Formats: sequence, C-alpha cells, structure tokens
Amino acid sequence: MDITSFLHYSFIQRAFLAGSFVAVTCAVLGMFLVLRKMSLIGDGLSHVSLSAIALGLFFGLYPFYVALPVVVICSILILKISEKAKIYEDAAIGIISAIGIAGGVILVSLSKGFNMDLLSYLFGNILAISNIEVIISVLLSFLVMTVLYFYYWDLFSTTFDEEYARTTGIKIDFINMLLTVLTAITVVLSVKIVGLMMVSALLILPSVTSLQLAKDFKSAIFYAVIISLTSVISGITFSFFLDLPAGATIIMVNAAFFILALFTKSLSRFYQGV
Amino acid sequence: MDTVVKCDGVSVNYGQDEVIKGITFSLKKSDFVGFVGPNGAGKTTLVKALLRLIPISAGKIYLFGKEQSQFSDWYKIGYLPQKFSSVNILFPASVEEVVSLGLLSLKKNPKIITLKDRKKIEQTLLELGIINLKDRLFFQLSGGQGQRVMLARALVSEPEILIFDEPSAALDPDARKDFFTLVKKLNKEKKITVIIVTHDTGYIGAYANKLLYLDQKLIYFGSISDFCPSEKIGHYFEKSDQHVIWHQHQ
Repeated sequence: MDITSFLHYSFIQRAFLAGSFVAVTCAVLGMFLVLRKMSLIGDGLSHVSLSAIALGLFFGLYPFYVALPVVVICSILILKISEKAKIYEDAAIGIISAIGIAGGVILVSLSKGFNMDLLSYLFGNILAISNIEVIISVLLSFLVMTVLYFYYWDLFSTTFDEEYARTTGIKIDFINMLLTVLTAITVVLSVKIVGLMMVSALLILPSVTSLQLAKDFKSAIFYAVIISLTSVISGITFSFFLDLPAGATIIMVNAAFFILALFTKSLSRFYQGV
Repeated sequence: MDTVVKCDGVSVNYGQDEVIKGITFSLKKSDFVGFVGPNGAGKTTLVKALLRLIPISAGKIYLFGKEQSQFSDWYKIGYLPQKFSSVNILFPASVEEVVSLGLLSLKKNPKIITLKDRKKIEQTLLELGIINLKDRLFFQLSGGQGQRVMLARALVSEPEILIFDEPSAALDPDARKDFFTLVKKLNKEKKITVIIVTHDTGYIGAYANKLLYLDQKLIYFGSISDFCPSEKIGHYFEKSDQHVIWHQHQ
C-alpha cells in the first residue's frame, strides 16, 4: 500500500487530526510542568483516569464523560491536600494516584465483562477514535491552548520566579490551580491517544527533548511542539505499516528523539571542548 | 514631601513566634534608607511584609497613601530579592524575557510584550550597560551580570520605590561598589525611594541618608548623622565599633 491510499482512510484522518491537536497541547503544557518539577502529575492523574474510566464502564456510561469531571476534581484535590496537610505536592500526587489505581482495580474485580474495553484505555487506541471523540479532542485542545495563551506571561513569571511574580500582583494560587486543571483535561484527552500507562510520557518527553537543544524559552516551546507533532504523526504511520500498537509506537518515536537530542548535545559539547 | 511608605505598629508572626513587633516608621519620596540589624532581626521579614509576600499579624501598612490591601499599582515598586534564591535556574529564559517580567504589573491578560515594550527593555539594558547581554540565557550569566539584569527587571516599569534584599551578597568588592554607586545615581537623578536590606551597617551609610536599625522591634530610625551618637544603639555596638561605623558614614 502506498502512502496516498493510506491517507484516504477516514480512521487515519481522524487519528491525525485528534493526535495533532493533543500533541501540540501536551508539548506546550508539558514545558511548564517539567520546569516546575511537576512532571509526575500526569502520571498521578492518569491513574485517577483508570478509576474514572472503570466507573464509567461499570455503570454503562461513556467513560470520557465520567473521566473528565472526576480527573479535574482530583487535580484540585491534589492542590488542596498539599495545602491543608502541609505536604509537598509529589506526596499529594502519590496519595491520589494510589487511590486512583486501587479504585480502578476494585471496580475491575467487581465487574465481569469490561476488561477488554479497559485494555484499550490502558494502552490507547487512536486508530479507533470516533468522530465525536475527534470533535471533543479538537475543541478541548483548542480551549486549553487558548487559556495557555491568555495566561502565558503569568505562567512564565510564576515558573521562573514565583516570589517575584507575587510582587507584580499575579494571583499565584489561581495560576497553580489553572495549570493543574488544564493538565487534568489534557491527561483525559491523551488517554485515547497513548493510553493511561503512557500519558505522562507524552507530556514529558517532547519538553525534555527540546530543553536539550533550545536557546531560549520560545524556541524550547517551538521545538517541543515540532517534536510532539512529528512523534504522533510518524508513530501513527509506523504503527499502521508495521502493525504495531499506535500508543506505544508514538512513545518510542518520542524516546528516539530524546536519545538523538542527548547524543547531538554531547557531540556538540565534544567538538566545543566543553 | 510625599510619604510613599508608612508602617503603623506592624507585627509579623511565624506560627506562635512574633518575628517583628510594633514597627512604626514612614519614608518619603527619594529617601535612601538602609534596613540594618543583626542576623534574625527581621529585616527580610519587614521587606516581605511591605511587598505583601507574607501576611502581617497586627498594624497597618500604607503604600502611596493607600492601605496595602487596597493598593494595586505594584508597578510603582521594584524588587530585587536575596541571591536569586527564588529563581528557577533550569528555566531557559533569555535576559530580554527576564526583564519583560518587570512590565507585567502594568498589563491585563492576555499580556502581550509590544514593540514599544521591547524598546523600553532595550533602553533600560542600555542605561545599565548590559545591552550586550540581551539575548543571553539568564542562567549562564555571572553573579554581577545577573544582579544587573535583576535590577533592569526592577527598573523597567519606572518604579518610584526600589527594594533590595542583601544585594551585595553575591558580589566582589568592586562589583559591590559599582552597584551601590549606580543605585545612588538612580536615587538622585530619578528621585526613586530606595530601601536596601543589609547586614553591613557601616558600608550602607556611605550611600543612604537614613538608617532603620531593627532587632525584632525598632531600635533606631533616623538620619545617618544621628545614628552613631544615638544612645539607643549603644547597647548593640562597642565604642570602638561605633567609631569605625562613624568613619565609614563620613
């Protein structure tokens, strides 16, 4: 089969469209998360998604509709637990993440028939994405990107120097809450693309790869978007022609970019004698 | 003359501990004041309370005549924190981007750095003699260069008050002298009120016109010339130290 006939498949077109929007969103959002040492929030919230999706399947509801509000509420809970119990955010993520996994496992053991459905959410199945899921992915990605654009400088300032940002009148608690809620939405969107198990990789890998090469923050975001888009598009393509799972292939392409960036950086340092 | 800062019986608690208590003083436009005192005296706490970074437990703070909770013109106050301790050193921000942050308090969301803003940033970098650093990454700069960039960030919004917390901590003696001379020039030429937190009671006297000596409570607030003869500070310094400080203040 040649590449043009491959592009005529409607399920490939849907996968490219939804995947591209989610890839760009993950790249931009992931940059702020990585620089704030909040990379693992994606992991924690994806574990919550397991519970939420299992809950949806258990009650016969469309899992996405259950996952979105549940994960958003849990993202706010992470901030509140960290604030009220006076513990670091990573410990609060650990608590919510463990409860998420435990709830999911209990629901799976109580159910008798949805284990196969759950597998597709664990490892992603972008090639099976429906029209309505594409529309939701595009709209929510657009919403997240619009909010990121609206608060870009506030996010920049609080990530670079939180204390100074406070002196310029920026509402730090609001910005932290906003970033966490946007992450929750993006995690739920990404589940269909790469699956629960690999969501955090889609948030982290493009950002850490671009940080190896970038000369300033704008170029770091630009590189992250290019890397993320290329990984999703080429991952879907490879998975189709090589008959591999799409989610895992996307992550492996991302990982290959990261190794290549590390290698390029080491090589350039070697030639500069650093 | 205009009162720009007024503290009326300000106290700050950390948990059960009262870190500063009942501080009362006021600063006028173009004052240059050193906040001095021993380690743990509450100097940084007082500055953070002025900047609303920590809540006060008693008293009132007025900025430009408005009670702090009602004050919103934060662009009028430039702040340079201690040793960049709050800066995320992994963040790949260029010098131009760092200085842009000083303009955010003038803007509403979505905040956009315009061509006019970029010219203003260039002008500030030019005035501070660091225009050559504009495209460099902040975390690649030396301590002295980083200090000047932070000063540019504080100055770009054309503030009426500049607050520095231990600005000379990362500087060698020459860079320290350059830095204080530059701040004095800004104070004189632009009539900017300057507050500098420092542990060096003698050195600051060569530049400031007022001293505020703090040891959890206010010990002395007044002119440089009255500081050494003051009986209030006799408890804190040996006669010989007072003599040395007096010479440094001349």
